[in-house]
Amino acid sequence: MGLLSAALWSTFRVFVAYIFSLLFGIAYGILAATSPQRERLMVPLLDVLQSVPILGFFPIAVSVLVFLFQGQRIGLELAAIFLIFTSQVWNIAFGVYETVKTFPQDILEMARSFGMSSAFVVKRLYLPALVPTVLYNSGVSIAVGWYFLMASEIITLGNVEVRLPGLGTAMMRYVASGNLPGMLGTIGTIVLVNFCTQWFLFRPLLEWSNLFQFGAVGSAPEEPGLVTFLRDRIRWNWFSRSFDAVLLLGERIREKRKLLVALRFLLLGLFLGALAYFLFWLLQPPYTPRLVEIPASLMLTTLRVVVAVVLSIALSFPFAVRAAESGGGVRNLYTLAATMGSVPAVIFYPLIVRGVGQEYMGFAAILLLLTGSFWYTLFNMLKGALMVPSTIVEMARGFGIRGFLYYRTILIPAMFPSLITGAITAWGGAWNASMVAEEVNFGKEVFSLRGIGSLLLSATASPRELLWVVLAMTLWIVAINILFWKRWYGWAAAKYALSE
Amino acid sequence: MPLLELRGVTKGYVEKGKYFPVLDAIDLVVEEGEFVTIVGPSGSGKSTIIRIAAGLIPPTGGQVLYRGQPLAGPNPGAAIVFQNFALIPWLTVQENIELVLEARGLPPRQRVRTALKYIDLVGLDSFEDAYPRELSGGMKQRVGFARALAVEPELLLMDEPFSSLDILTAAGLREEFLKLWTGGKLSIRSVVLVTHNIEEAVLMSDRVVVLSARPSRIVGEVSVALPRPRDPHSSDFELIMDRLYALIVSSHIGR
Repeated sequence: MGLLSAALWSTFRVFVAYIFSLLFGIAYGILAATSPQRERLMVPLLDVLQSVPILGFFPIAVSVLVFLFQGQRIGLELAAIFLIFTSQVWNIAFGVYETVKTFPQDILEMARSFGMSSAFVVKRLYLPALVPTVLYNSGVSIAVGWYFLMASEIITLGNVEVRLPGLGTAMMRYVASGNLPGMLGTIGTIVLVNFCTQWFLFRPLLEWSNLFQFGAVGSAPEEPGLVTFLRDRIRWNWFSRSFDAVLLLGERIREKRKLLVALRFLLLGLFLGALAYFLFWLLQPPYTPRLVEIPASLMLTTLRVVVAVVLSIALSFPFAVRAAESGGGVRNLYTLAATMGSVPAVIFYPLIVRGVGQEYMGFAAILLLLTGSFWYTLFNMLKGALMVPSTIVEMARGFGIRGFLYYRTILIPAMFPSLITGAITAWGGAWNASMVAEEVNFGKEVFSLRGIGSLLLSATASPRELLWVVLAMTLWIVAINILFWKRWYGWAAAKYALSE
Repeated sequence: MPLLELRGVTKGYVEKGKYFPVLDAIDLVVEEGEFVTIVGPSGSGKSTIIRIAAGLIPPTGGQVLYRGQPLAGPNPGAAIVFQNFALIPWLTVQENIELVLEARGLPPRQRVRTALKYIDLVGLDSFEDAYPRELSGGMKQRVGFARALAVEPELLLMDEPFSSLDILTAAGLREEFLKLWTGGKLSIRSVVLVTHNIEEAVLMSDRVVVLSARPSRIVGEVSVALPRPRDPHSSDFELIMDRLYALIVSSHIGR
């Protein structure tokens, strides 16, 4: 009975966060893709938000929300939902952005030639065209949301620990008391909930989403019962009308140009003022030992993250190869991966660390990072493998290109852009997992590993130190993204584009 | 008054600080009731002329007049038939046509009536509920025609509409379109067709305009004063074909 209510609470949090992610992600992606001005600002911002370890910001978000709601439970619930939301939304937003950016030019031309307004194009062309991407990325997002749920239900505020009812809390309680049946029951519940979501919700929807794919061939997929049900029950007119109202409001605001310019300057001034004050507060002495510790800790964590990403790619590769060759079997693999990916490895972690002891905690940490990054490389490489045109696979077969030559000259280059995307997201995932990998409390025992994650946890008591650690880490990750990943991606996308 | 006039229209694009001309001073007048075909080598900017006439892209220089008025933005009197059909995959045949009617602000009931009428006209009845992916290339282009006709335009712009179809399908569709055009049941006043198929040009149009390679100029035109339906094996037809060939070849030698 306890497990059932815990499961309901946790599922509720994940889905509320998911619905917000969906709305926000779609709006963000479309807005960023439809105006070059917005694009210049919103895409780099998305890159930053996507790659920053959310868990690092969690203590800050919690203190703000708890302060706003004066310690009431709703504040804590919102903080938990917010954490899950931030783990889900960027993935969806990025997928939406990419889909709108690559929307077929001839369809857009058709739309303009028949006098369709831009609101009409968004509503009737962009939104339906987003269905496949959004569904595909939703599977990943929900799995990731469960992963972070575990970390969001137990909130530490200074010396006080608050627990929200849910599977994460239940698990921690069972772990602390060494209740093995309890632990297994909780994990089983999580797997069951996710399996049901993936199998009964996303699997049929994904099959149906093929209808919205440009250039798809063969007979049209049948509409799942769920879609028919929603189509008949929901007043789409109401949605359509409120959508128009929002657009109209945006238009009205844009018309008031003078006001807008003034407002922009006012906001800019306020922002710069606040920034200056903030920097002054941040940069003034004293420089405590914890601040001096930042560079070395950062390097240690980076090292572990790199190892985890490389291992993730290597482990995902055989699956991607199989997917490219079989094609049809991928849906099952996807469902399986999404279910497995949602099992929060974090909950086994204390047990494992205690088993291997402090000495080998480094290896255990890399293992945990792997569970935070492997699913990203796997999902992305599966997606890439699916997109390898069957004509290329057939060509290779026809000319007897096999074995190493086949991988080196055809399959790896064809999947390269998605491999890089996978590596970038895995990099973010591993960083995130680092936030929980470096310090473990097991009953009264404390295991700790040097690194930026443990440094962050030790700094939660002092806002200034906490911000220092979070900002240093963010800047470091963003710098590597710009200097390394971005360039590599640009190069791979240009060189291995699968078009003629 | 002519329906469409291009006066000294030029078009080019700038890349890495260098200007690449596509169209070089195009003068073209399309009278009411006229079927004009533009032929030219691939990459000569034929499709660019269609897009400028439709008001989808502005010319770099020169003037575009529709019924004597300068064109600013999409031409409300024109509709395009696209080479690659440009159908929406998640909408059925009927929904694809209703979509453009909805964009034009027609009320729901009238949308259905108009869509069904034109589906019938192009011979797609009983395929209303099929998705484009379930149709052959020829049937997809029938939807393309039905959609363009359904908004009841005065000017029909056709951008190589038969190029992606096999020979027999293309021939059949051409014939059917000519029947509709000469039958006078359509709202269309004039047609501009773009193609690289010379026989298609002579078979269908009243006047054939020949475009040079890039940057394109009009190198000459041939009028086709033959009664329809035309026989490609008649001596008159072959004479006009020869004249067109000569014009095209001379434009190549000229460079």
